[in-house]
Amino acid sequence: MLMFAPFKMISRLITMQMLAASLLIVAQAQSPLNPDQAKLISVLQSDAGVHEKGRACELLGEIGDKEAVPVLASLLGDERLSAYARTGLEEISGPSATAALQSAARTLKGDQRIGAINSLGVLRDVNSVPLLSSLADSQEPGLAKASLLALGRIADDKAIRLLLKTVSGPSASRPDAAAALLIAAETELAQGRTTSAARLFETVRNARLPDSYRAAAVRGSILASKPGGRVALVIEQLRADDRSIRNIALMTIREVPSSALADVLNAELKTADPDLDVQILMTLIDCHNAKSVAAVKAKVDADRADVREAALTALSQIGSPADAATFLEAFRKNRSPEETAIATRYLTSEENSEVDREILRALETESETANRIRLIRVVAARGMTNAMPELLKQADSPDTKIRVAAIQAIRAVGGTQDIPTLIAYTRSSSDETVRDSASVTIADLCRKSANPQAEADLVLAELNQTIDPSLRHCWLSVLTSLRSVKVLPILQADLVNDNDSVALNAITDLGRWPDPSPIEDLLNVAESSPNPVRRESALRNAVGLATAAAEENQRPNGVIFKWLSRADKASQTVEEHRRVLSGLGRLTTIESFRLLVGHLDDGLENEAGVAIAAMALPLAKKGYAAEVKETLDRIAATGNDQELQNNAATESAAILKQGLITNLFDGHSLVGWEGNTTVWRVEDGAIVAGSMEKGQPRNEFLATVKSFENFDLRLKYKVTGTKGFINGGVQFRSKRVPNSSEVSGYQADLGSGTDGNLYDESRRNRNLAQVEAAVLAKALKEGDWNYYRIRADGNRIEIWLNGVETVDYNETNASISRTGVIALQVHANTTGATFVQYKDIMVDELPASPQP
Amino acid sequence: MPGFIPARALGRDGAVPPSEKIALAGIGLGPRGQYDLSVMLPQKDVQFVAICDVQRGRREQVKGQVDSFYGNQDCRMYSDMFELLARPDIDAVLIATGDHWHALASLLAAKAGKDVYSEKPCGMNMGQVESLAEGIHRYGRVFQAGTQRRSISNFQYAVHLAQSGKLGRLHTLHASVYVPKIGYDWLPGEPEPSKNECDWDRWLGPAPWRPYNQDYVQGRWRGFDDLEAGGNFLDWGAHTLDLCQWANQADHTTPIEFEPTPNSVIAKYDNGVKLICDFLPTAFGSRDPQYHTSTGTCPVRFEGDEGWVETGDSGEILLSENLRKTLSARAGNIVGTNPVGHAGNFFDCMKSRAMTVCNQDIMLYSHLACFAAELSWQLNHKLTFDPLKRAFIQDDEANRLRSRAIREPWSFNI
Repeated sequence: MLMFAPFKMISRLITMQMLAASLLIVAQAQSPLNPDQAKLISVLQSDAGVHEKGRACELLGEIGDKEAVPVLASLLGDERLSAYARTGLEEISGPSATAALQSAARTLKGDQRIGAINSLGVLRDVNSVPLLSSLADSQEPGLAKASLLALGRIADDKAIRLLLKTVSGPSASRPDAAAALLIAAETELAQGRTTSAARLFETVRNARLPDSYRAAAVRGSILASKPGGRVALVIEQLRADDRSIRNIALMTIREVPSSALADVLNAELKTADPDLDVQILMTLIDCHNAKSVAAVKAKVDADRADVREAALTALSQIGSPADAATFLEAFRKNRSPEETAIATRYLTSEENSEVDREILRALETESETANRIRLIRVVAARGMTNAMPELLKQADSPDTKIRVAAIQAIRAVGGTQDIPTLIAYTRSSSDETVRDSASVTIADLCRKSANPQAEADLVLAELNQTIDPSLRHCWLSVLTSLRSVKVLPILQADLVNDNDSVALNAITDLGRWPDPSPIEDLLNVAESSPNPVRRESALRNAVGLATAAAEENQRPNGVIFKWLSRADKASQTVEEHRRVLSGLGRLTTIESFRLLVGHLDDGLENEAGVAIAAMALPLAKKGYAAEVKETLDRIAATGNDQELQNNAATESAAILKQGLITNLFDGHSLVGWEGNTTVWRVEDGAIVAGSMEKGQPRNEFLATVKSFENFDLRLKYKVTGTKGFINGGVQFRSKRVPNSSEVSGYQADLGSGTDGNLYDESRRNRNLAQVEAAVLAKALKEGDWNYYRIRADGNRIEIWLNGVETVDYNETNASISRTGVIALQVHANTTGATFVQYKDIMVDELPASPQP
Repeated sequence: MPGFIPARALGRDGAVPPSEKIALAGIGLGPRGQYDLSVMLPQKDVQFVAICDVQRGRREQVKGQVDSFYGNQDCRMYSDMFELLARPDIDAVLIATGDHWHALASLLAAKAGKDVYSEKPCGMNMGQVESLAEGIHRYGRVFQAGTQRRSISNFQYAVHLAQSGKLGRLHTLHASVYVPKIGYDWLPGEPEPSKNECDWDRWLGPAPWRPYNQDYVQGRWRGFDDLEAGGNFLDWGAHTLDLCQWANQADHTTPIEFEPTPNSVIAKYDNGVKLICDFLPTAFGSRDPQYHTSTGTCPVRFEGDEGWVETGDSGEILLSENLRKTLSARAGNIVGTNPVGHAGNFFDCMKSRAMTVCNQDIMLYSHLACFAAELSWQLNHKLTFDPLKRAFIQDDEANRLRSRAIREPWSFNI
């Protein structure tokens, strides 16, 4: 996409050079002062496409002069380019442009003709008036309308005369002539010819036309009226039956506000239909005089709620601080939520010391509890620092709710100098709700200091003198909320306090710490406390801290994982395990993943499953695709929650789709493999060889076309037969032996008791590693589908059978190849039949080993 | 104090008789319009009755949204806006088409006697917004521009600080905008679908002709000069510059000077206040050091000689050190988002016939300021502008860019 950088001029020249390059005709003599214009003109004369020509027209509009007019004019009849050309002509303007447009208006047809007329209107070309007049009664669709409106824009005497004639005649174009007259009249008005304007508006007003035209004319009449006549005119419109007329009168008043008109509004408030009151009140906001305030206040107690609200709203805009009493009264009366809100808003935001005084006075004398509390909140919202003495008084009220409200208000209003008072207050208070509130207030006040920790020391000092546990807890809350480092050792000591409530408070406070510093202490309690309540709380809070740490990356993943593993071990109930899983879910590490997988079989599979699905893709990208996918497939197949299964399947598919793991077998063809296709075929979504009817004369192999070095391979196999050596195998890092059907290399053996072994086929011809019979017996599913995982990374080869590791082998022979194909085997069986099946063959390629 | 709480924002309960309901219709509601609709539908005194869209899929989608809200099938669909506008029962229209249709559709609706809520930017260039403001006045309609941040409390509070002198004498206002860019390309032409599927000619409307491509009509029309206003300057600029105008109490004027720099446009008002449009390289993510990243998208900052305030879509209000002591409790109490406020203001003004918070005059001057700033960037030199004449001083080329012809048979002269 061509994007233009900020240096537009340069870019424009580049564009033009590009355009010039596509020319077939080169420009002839051009104005030496405007070579760019010449190039653009050439483009328009060439065979260039619509796109370049359109752009050239626009550019000519920006820099062109009359030289460009002819070529632009030639495009006026082109339905795709006309608008571009008209931009050029409208911007160039002047006599040659208008002449060209007139010519087009005479000779073109259809929409393009209308376009030319529109442009003449934009250019206000007086010389086109005769032409436009002649078209003003055309029957061609849209032509008359365009002409009339253009005439309205031009608005010379002749044009206006024609419009007046049309609007009073029988023509179907009357509305268009009226619209044009409105435009013309506004031009007259703007140029100070008010009498002429008034006459035109009057004509439109009296013509039988749709409401919107009449309303526009009413507005115009009001604007064009002489100040003396305006009042009467406005009154007449305000009393019209037609709502649209009343509405526009009100709107127009706002355009020409005056004291006289304000008087009209003040008077109408007393006499008009109450339905109009709301509108009049709102209009007074934009047009009021000294008497309006009284008129508005009279409506504050109207019968209708919407009128009262409008009155309060208007008063809030046009009143003065002296009117605070009115708002206080509305606030107190609380007649409706809306009125109270308007009053509250006024009282909260009107910044004035007189209003301050009114509010304080109201608070001092208010007897009703609910109102007093609301007033206290207003004091807080106003940030009235001078209200501290009164608030402290309220804080001693016999009513707890008022005490709490006052304490809360001090947060906004108080300062650091009030901290000692608050401390003393808290110390002497016996009500827990109040104390809780006070501790938050103290913390907030400390935070206002330039050095909050210094203020916190006051609280610390208090703490050191306090014995009462509940009060102690108060001070500890303050210090905890201030993140005061000095409180950490105190809390840690409290963890093992004999008193349960002290210990439990400490656990909760530590649980709210902004970083995981306290976590080890909490875990210790969770692991070793004999007290079940403490244990439960400590565990819960520890897990909370660990989860937050994981979410906000406050510690390395490994550290957080260790904490969560400890928590997992200390968990006793399903709910506790669940919380741990939730924390693990935020640690996208393979260790976390494996721990979660461990919970897939113990009743927590849903929680574990969700966390696993969420971290699957990121972990797959970190090189664990095969392991992750295997887990997801397991959940998808055997989970017991439909949504979870679907989720897991989706993530599994995503891993495949993103190429994080590769399907070696597409499920229906042997693409990617080579071998004897009379033996090897695809049946029922598996690669199969042999049958239950007959045996194999010799070993047969189906090999990948591609070679692999380091990888993690997974597949399923099933080997069945009648008698004899019923055997298959999975070759890797192998190669075909020339002139033979053999393949040499490592083999993960299978069938007839060899499953899980690492054999060296057609090379060293022995087992490199062999699984113990007892282990095999437990792992193998004889005659059924088995799951093989083979991982080769450098010198290390591992094999797992149905999740049980059977081989962990280290290749020490340097001459053994570390790369080669993967191949599937059906072993020779001349005694009986062998049928092998392989499916779901996936490989996760690992990074190549560094060169020795 | 800017604004007042409309009754509806306080959740006036109780049913409203149908005769008192505002009949609202929509024109061109894509993702943004449907969001606006989701805010407007729950208003108890509003009934959405019809949708017009040139694309069948969009019409049906909106009808689905509306019908499912009301639990009936009453929403009518139109493909031709004139049919919709001819209905005398419709009181107001919500216009959320692509940029290039905003001004003309609003004007046509006003002439047809409807009040208008138009998404921003309200026009493609200075000429269009002038025509729009003129037409709204002429036909006496209530108009609300979709610059809804004027109705959001944290922005209101920041402006209040600027206006009330709490920041001292204002000297610098910062409006964030995307890095501007203009594209003159066309997407490759594709066969036009049937008119019922998508009336391409009508979708283009007043925009000059280009061949159809489905990307345009699926909402990817940004970045094309004739379809997106002002080189994407106005995408945020319509909001942030507007807030600065308000803060400077300059709602009926504009800066008089605009000067481009590599990272900004610096504008100056007659009263000496500077307005800096900072180009932010990314819409999200870090915007340090120009703004504090925590304030979110569309940040603005107002600086006076006694303090500064910064705020953005995150709702957070940041104050200079000295102001934090006295004002932070109050600032902390300001609730950030109140999206119903702006639409609510429109509906309330429809009833009272008051001017909305983003009425046609305020919209006009904000947009003029945006377009002037964008033009100084585009032309890459300083421009001086006369807010009374609404034209550039001694710069024919800049003045030629004030407007463009629109595609026939459409006209702003209506």
